[in-house]
Amino acid sequence: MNQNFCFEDFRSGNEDAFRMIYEEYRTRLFYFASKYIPELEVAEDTVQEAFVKVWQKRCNFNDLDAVKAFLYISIKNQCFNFRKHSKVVHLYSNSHKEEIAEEEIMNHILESEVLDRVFKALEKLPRGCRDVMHLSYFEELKNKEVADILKISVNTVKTQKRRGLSLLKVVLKSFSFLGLF
Amino acid sequence: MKKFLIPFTRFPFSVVSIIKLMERAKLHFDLARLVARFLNGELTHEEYDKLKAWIEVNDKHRELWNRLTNQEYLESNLEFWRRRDDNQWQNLLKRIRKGEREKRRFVLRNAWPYAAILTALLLIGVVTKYFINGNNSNKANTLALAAKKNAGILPEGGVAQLILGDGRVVNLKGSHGQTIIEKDGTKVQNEKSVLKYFVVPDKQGSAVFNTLKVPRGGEYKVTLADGTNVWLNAATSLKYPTRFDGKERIVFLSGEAYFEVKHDAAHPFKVMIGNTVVRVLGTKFNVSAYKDDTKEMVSLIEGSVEVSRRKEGHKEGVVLKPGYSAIIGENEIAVNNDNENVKTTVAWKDSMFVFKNETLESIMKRLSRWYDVGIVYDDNVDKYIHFTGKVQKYESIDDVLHLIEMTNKVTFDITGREIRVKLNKTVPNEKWVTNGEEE
Repeated sequence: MNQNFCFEDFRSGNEDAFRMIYEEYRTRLFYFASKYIPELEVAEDTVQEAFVKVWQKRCNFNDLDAVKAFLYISIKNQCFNFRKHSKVVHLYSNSHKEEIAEEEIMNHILESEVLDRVFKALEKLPRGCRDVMHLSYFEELKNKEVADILKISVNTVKTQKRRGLSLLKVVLKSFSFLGLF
Repeated sequence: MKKFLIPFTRFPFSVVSIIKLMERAKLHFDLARLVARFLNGELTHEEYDKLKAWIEVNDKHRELWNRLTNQEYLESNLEFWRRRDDNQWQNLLKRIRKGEREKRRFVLRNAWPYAAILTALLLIGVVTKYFINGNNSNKANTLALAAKKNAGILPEGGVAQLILGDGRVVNLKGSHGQTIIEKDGTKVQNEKSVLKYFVVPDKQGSAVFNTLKVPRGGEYKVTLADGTNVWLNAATSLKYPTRFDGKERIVFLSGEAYFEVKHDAAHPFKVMIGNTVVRVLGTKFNVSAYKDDTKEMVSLIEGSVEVSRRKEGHKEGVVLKPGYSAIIGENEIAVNNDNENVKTTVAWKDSMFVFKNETLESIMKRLSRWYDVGIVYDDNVDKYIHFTGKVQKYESIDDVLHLIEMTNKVTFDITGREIRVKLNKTVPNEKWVTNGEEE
């Protein structure tokens, strides 16, 4: 989110300010919801519902962290509620007792937050380098295979991978200087 | 502490616990910032201590830390962020404006169909229970007991686990219909022990890899996005993309599967098994590549396939004709032409257990996977005796064992899920008698 954002605008009902909050948080919240609900439409629904609530209660928030925390917890509550109803259809790998659940919620929040930072950092990498990173790590292809697909040499693949990793570091660095984080 | 009007009246959580949860969440925002700073290598000593204290709280923390600092894990989970859906904001606006007029009646409209199914199942359960208990409970119990005694060990059949692109696991049961939407928009439908992929026109982002894992005792079928059908045998896993976008259609196999590949000459289909690649255009073939077998085998029913090594440096390969098998050993690929044998290799897909001049060891290995049992051999048993036979594989394991016992070579003892293979002493195997190792 850029510096023009003003929390007071959001509180006083400015939709543009609200949209900035929405665009900033929606993906990580969506990822968070998907940890509990594999059906993406339902997961997406919980995110939207949480934002509807935030908008209704906007006057009660003092800062962005409070909004964000509220969004996570609201989504988690909806997901738990949903799962209560759909237990027969989906047999999930973990059973959820209340104490374990709280620990797990926090871990999911942490993971969603970290991934969001990493993604924003990766987005700033040059295109060619991103393709190599994508094929190598996401598709789990070997250097030779990546080279064949992209029609580049194996050495280029190796260089781009190294470059990707170190660029990631540089970008993360500049990222952490942004005021909001 | 910030002031909140608590909007959670619908949920059974106390005000205190929500505020507590929110405060805990905020601590984790800070931790996330520290993890990101760590990835960047600019964590101060002070911050490091803070992070370390958190990691050392318990194993769950350590596990998460290991994942978050694993480049591959990070990259593979970022697919979510690549999904673009620009209508979301408009949808939210609509919802807010609507919500200002009327309170939404349901948090999740989508929950209701599931709730209905749950109720229906519960009802069926109650009715059935009433029927059994109310009607003739003594007789029912006796019957159940008798059945238990005679049923022996049965296979489980249509069970599997689907691992989605981001690592989430969905347990599949053949009898439960369910639909899953993968994050690239692909629709996955599960019905009657068949998993089916539908590519939707408004696909989002690039395809993701799914893994279908069939446990010991199970079998499952999947129809991939290109229309290719794959039957997975017990103890098998297949990894494939939700749709095939590239020049080649690539899947990864471990275990045994029978493929009917949709013909598409422009996009060769490749099965990766360890260091071996099976390359086809459109054909029917069986691949057996269990990690606990020393050799991998590809048997061709129809069409043509090329089997070659994936190893860099020396690419050697063979092209198979129908009725041929390739046996891939550590050092070479042997080709075998036994049409009958090739047919028996795919009998498993048609619910048959067929073994033709097969060693005892190999038969028992297959049985152990299908019936999920352990096998123990007495020292004096020759594992390399050959047997030929044919049985229905959904029958109890007793049928197969009985068939083998009829040859008077070996006998079996079943204890729980363990099968002990013993020498048949009534007609002793000559070889061992002369060696004086009868007991």
